[in-house]
Amino acid sequence: MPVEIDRVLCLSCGACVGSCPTESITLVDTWIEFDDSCISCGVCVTVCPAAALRLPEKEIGPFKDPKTGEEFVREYPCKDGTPKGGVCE
Amino acid sequence: MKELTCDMLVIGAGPGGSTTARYAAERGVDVLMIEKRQEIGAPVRCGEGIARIWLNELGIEPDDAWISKEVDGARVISPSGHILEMNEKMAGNETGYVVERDLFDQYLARTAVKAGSELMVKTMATGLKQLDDGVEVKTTGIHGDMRIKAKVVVGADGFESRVAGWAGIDTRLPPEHVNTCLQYRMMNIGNAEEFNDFYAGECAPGGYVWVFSKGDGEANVGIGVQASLLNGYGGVKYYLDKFVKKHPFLSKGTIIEVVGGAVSVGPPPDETMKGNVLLVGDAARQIDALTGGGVVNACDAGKVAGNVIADAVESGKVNEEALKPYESGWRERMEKMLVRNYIAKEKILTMSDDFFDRIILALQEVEIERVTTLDILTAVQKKDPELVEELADLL
Repeated sequence: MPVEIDRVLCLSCGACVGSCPTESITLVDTWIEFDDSCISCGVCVTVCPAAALRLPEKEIGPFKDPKTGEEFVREYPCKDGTPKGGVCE
Repeated sequence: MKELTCDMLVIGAGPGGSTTARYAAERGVDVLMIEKRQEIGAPVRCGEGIARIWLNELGIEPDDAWISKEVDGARVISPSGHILEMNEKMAGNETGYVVERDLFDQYLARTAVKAGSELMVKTMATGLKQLDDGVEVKTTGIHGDMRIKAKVVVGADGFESRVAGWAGIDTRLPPEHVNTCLQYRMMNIGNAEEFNDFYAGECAPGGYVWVFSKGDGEANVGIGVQASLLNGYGGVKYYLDKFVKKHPFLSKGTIIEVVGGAVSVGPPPDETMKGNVLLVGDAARQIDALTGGGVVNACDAGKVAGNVIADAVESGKVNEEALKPYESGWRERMEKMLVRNYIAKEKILTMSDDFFDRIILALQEVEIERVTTLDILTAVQKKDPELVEELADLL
């Protein structure tokens, strides 16, 4: 489970659960849980209104595309991970 | 493992689930409702504005137990501060009452139980299997692990629906079709209490800021932003904090509650049922993409679902064929509006702050009866024909 959860900040609102493209998150009352199908796409990180989710740097990239050999960085989270109000540098 | 059987299992005791349960139970259907939370409706995830007209239609008596404020009108406020004021008749869905959503949800659940539904809280569905003659659902919770066999299952499990995926109904949303929301309930603020206010423009990319009055110097101050227009983390909070700081009537207030959530803002999905599983409410993406309002639609669809299921149970044949009228029934009632408001929302996304200002200015001086998309366009056409050229595809 690569996504880090700040359980103090979490509002248990389910925004991440319904936005997850791989349906990898479950919410029960005030507890969210990721399962192994998570692909670290970062959608939940961006969607979270509480800023309670983070992707560690190693999950963000840069990665090498196995087919083309091109380097890429995940689109959603900021590279430097700083909260700049939704707009990455 | 405990084994249970029922005619209809409702997963999720929100407005959609409770309304479906109520209408089916009133006609003698054997209904079981399960709710994963320990307390129905809490924590709240909503702006809490509800239309008056709509309550009448569902035969719900307004009750002080869940109404915090009656609101006469709505105002749309442009980026430069131009105000478009609307009375209830014009604003339609978005005026009437500001409620306490947790108490409101509990009230609807009680109505369902009074009609004869069974209810189990702190009980969560963990899986679902379609059978030849119904649906089997596994659950866990305070009643222990259970296997429930139902003739029909209603997935009213909200924005984060699991039932949809289990039943093979694709309701997944790309970030373009998700608005993520944050709301502060604030006290000691100086808002205009007789209005629900909507702030449009770049203060909330792809969405809007709302200030819904709770009375007594309190209001829900919330924001919805389109997820695909955010990056990194903390984006929604950044925009809301910026808004609060910028407006003196808010910045001196105190936050007494924080509410999060998300709504779908895409077009309605292709299908909302499969086999003997029906989706209702947010799970079926029955949300107005322009306003983000969903309570009314969920209850409306729930009423359709409850009656269709009762018909099927009464006929003795509960299969996809017999349940199909649900799909056409709810679409007849709201699909046109959902599609139109989705298109309008997509158009609004492309508007600059300056464009918003011009529209509100144009509308201010025109008498309009009702604020539907068409009425707005017709009014704007009279005042500022140039504007309408840019909106031509909406007409």
